[in-house]
Amino acid sequence: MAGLLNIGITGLNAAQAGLNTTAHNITNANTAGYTRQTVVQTTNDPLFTGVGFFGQGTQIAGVKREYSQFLENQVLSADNRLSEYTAYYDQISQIDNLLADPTAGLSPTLQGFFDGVQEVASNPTSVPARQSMISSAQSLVSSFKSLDTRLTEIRQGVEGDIKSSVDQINTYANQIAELNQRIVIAQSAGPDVPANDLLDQRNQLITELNTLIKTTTVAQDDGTVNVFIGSGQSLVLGQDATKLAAVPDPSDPTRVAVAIQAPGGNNIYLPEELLNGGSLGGLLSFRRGALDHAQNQLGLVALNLAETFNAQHRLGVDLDGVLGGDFFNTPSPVTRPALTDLPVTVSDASLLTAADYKLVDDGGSLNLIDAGTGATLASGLTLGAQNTVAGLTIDLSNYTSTAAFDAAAPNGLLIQPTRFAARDIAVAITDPRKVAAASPVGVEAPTANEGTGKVSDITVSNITGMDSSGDRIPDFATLTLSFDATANAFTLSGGSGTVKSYDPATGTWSGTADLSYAPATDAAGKTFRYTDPSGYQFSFTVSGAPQTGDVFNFAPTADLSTNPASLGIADNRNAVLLGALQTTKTMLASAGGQPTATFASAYAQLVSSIGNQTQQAQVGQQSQQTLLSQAQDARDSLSGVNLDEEAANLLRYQQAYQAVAKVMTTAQTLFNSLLSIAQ
Amino acid sequence: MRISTNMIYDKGVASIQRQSADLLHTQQQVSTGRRLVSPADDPISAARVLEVSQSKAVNAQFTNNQGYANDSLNLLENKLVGVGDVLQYVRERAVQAGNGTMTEHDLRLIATDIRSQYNEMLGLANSRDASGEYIFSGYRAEVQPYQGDLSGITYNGDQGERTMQVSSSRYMPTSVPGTQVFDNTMSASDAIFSYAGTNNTSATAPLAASFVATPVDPVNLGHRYQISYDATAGSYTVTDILPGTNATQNVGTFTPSGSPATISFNGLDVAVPATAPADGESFEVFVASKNVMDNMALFVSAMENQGASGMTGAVAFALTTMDAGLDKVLTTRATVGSQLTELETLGNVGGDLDVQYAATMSRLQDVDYAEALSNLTQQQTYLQAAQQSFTRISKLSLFNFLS
Repeated sequence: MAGLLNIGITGLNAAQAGLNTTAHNITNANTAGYTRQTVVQTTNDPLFTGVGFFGQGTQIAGVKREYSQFLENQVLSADNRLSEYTAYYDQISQIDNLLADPTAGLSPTLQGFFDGVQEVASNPTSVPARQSMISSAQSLVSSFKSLDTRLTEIRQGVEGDIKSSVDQINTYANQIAELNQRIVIAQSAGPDVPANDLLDQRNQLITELNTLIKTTTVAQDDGTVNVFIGSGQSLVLGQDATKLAAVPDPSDPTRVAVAIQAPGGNNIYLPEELLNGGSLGGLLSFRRGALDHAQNQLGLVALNLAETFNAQHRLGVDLDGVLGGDFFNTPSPVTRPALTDLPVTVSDASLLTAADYKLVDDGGSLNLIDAGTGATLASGLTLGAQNTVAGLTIDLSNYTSTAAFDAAAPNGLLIQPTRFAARDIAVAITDPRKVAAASPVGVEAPTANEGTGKVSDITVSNITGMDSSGDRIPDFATLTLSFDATANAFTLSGGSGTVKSYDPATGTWSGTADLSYAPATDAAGKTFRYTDPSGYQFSFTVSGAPQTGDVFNFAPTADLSTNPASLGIADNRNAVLLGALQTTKTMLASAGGQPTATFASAYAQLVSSIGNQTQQAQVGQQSQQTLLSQAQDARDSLSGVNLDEEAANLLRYQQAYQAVAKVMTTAQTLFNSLLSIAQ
Repeated sequence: MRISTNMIYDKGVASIQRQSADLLHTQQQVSTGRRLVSPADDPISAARVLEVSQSKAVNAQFTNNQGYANDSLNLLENKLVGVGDVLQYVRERAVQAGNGTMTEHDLRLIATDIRSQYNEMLGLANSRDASGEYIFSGYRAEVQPYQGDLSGITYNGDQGERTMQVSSSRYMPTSVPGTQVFDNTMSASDAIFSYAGTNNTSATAPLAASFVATPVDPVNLGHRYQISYDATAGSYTVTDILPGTNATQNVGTFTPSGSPATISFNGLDVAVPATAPADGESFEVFVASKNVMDNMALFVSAMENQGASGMTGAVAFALTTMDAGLDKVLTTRATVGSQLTELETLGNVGGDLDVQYAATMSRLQDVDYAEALSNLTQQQTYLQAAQQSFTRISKLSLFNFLS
């Protein structure tokens, strides 16, 4: 009976342990990272007698955690990618929404501006039309600025998020190191007695760390895990955690870079490309891929618009007969470090791209590389001279050795031609009279001309030297073309420049001076170009049949010195050319130097590229969500708590308890029977 | 497969959220009427919409410019009709003046009439548009193009043609400088009209005159010379009757020289008859101006102060020069007319394009309501199903049966 009671007690204990574990499971059903536990019940060592082994009841061999590292790793991997996509998507969808409304954004104000230009072209004498052109330019500029401000706000948000992600990573790393320590102590009995709940807690921390950055874990024999990030940098080694820091990027102090703080206090910078995965990886790749590109591309449109429009505007004359000035303030490239003795200017805006450039010393040779891809754009820049590369003029006049350059820019010179252009663009003129709608060159065919010859389409391409007196009113000497029908050619007088003719078949200007004009074959129109030694240049088309002695006089449109009333205020030729810039391809020149995009299509490229990236992030997010949910299902299928199952277990252990209690009652009855014999 | 309780909740909530997100997206599409809620919905279409909307706006701007061009050209056409009418009227009066029964008094009346026609012509040449700008002064819109009177007028504009962009590739001139309408009406080679005096008995053939040099200096155009022979001196006396004032100006007395014998003055070579005319016999030489108004003034002068050839020469001169002027006006009107027709065509094309662009944009960005509403209903059904099934499943628990 004593045996029966002893066996009963083991059963009671086992049933209680089962009930306890079931209760633990039920209460922790909603605990994050909790893994279902089960009791492992075995028989006690039997008692050997001469007739065989008699069972001695049951015992609890251990409490098991229903856990699979393989399934957990799958969840970690999917979770990591999902949080990367989510962080990326959360940021880029802000830009996507910013560009979403076709009635907001840049398109309507760009269109409004060119409508204003066309209005001036249609009504050049109207000061209100000119005023509305300036006003629409101001609203275009403010729409550039507001888009840029929004992007800058997003950038500031990203920089802040990067900093707080780094702080969180440090917190998790410390907590993991601390749990490592507690697990070592808890498992001092040996790894066969796992500290289930501590392991769950550490797993949960690793899961959360893993949503911030991609981690690799290696389990150690003493129960600790080592955590690595990036390309194998250790974050947690046993019971020690490394500290990460968000510090200014050495080559661009406005950006936050991630560094490991070495024990000595030095920062070891981690290259951004290595910090992939997790929300930090998503933020970094958003900043370098989408945000930089978006802001640069917007700036590129602003810069090109300012440069191209100004260039054409300078070729005209305003209502006072004065050569046009800058219509927009041209944003200038920003360099870091900002070296005033190493100016970088834009030489040809059509050759610029949305990239940032970097000037680096590569073993004694100054190379210009693409800061994003690292591709070399030009190598061996000439020291002590001006260099014109990739649409930029880099003035190295003050740097005669690479040593001097290295001293001034130890991390290389970062050149951002377009990053701040949308912020810096502004309207330079406020006086409506200063809109240069007219062309500086006019032509007069005296009424004495007998033939039907006509000059049209005067297009000025350079105005250098048109004004010799310095008052910016063109005063070049009248240039006369006289026709000789026997020679079938014009003769030039009044100017010492050269005239070339245009060959429409090859699209080139003939290399030698050519004034020949055969009315029989050229009457439909032959285009010539005059280039003065002082620099100014214009082309014109002669059509019809001039006769011998017919002349064409090219003179300043307004000859104000001799005739103040001669101002051609209805001259809209330059305004028409300004208006045509809207539909002219002026941007993103191909390798051959042929521009491939209009302002609006470059902006559309930005919208489409952001839309594509958002869509990719969305698709990536959805597919990772599916993967994660599958991996979680597989894991939860093993490790998750099912309350129905636990209810069944409750019943099971309750009945086991009751059954064992019955055994005890039986022992009691037996004992009573024995006692009754003695009565 | 073993199911954990959390899976039931997580999956239920996730599926409800997904359905809600889809429903919200469809609802946004329906409420905004746009298929593209953000560029990410269809990046290619989103970029295309931007490009098409620019094309549409540019097209609208061209339509606007066509309106401006139409206004300018209609005004121009209107003024040219006026100019043509004046010339036609002067021509009719010239034919009337050629009628031999006209007395000097009648001719004076006609001259007075043509003087007022001259003023009307000058008024037309100095026409302004609605914003007060001279339409015939080229680019110098604030400068009165023609100044002067019957004594001679000068052009103060320039030869600029105001141009408007009326389509992507067409820059249409919308003004004509006055020189193209009123000046340049005739070639210098046709400008000399020579007549023998009506009273001549021996020398009845007109003098052959030609210009010394081409191109002719404009100051030598627009003259009416009287050339009379002085038999005693053997020389010719040349006087110029100035239009407007009808004052006579002595050009000089010339003795013929060379072979054939010629006299030269004011850029003219005039071959005199081989046989000397009788004393006092005279000739008349009209040198037409290139400007039709100057020629009108010469005709007025010829009526008011008749020359040697009487009305015969004057009428012939007037008919030829007025025809030349009319010809020029009609040519310009033909150009303007064809431009107006072109504008109408461009307007039609622009209208069609606008409809096309609108259709393209609608196809790219507008929601198909039938589809969207059907989606909305479908997604609503799915969401309801998800919600109801979730509440049912979540109610199932073994604990409900434990007592």
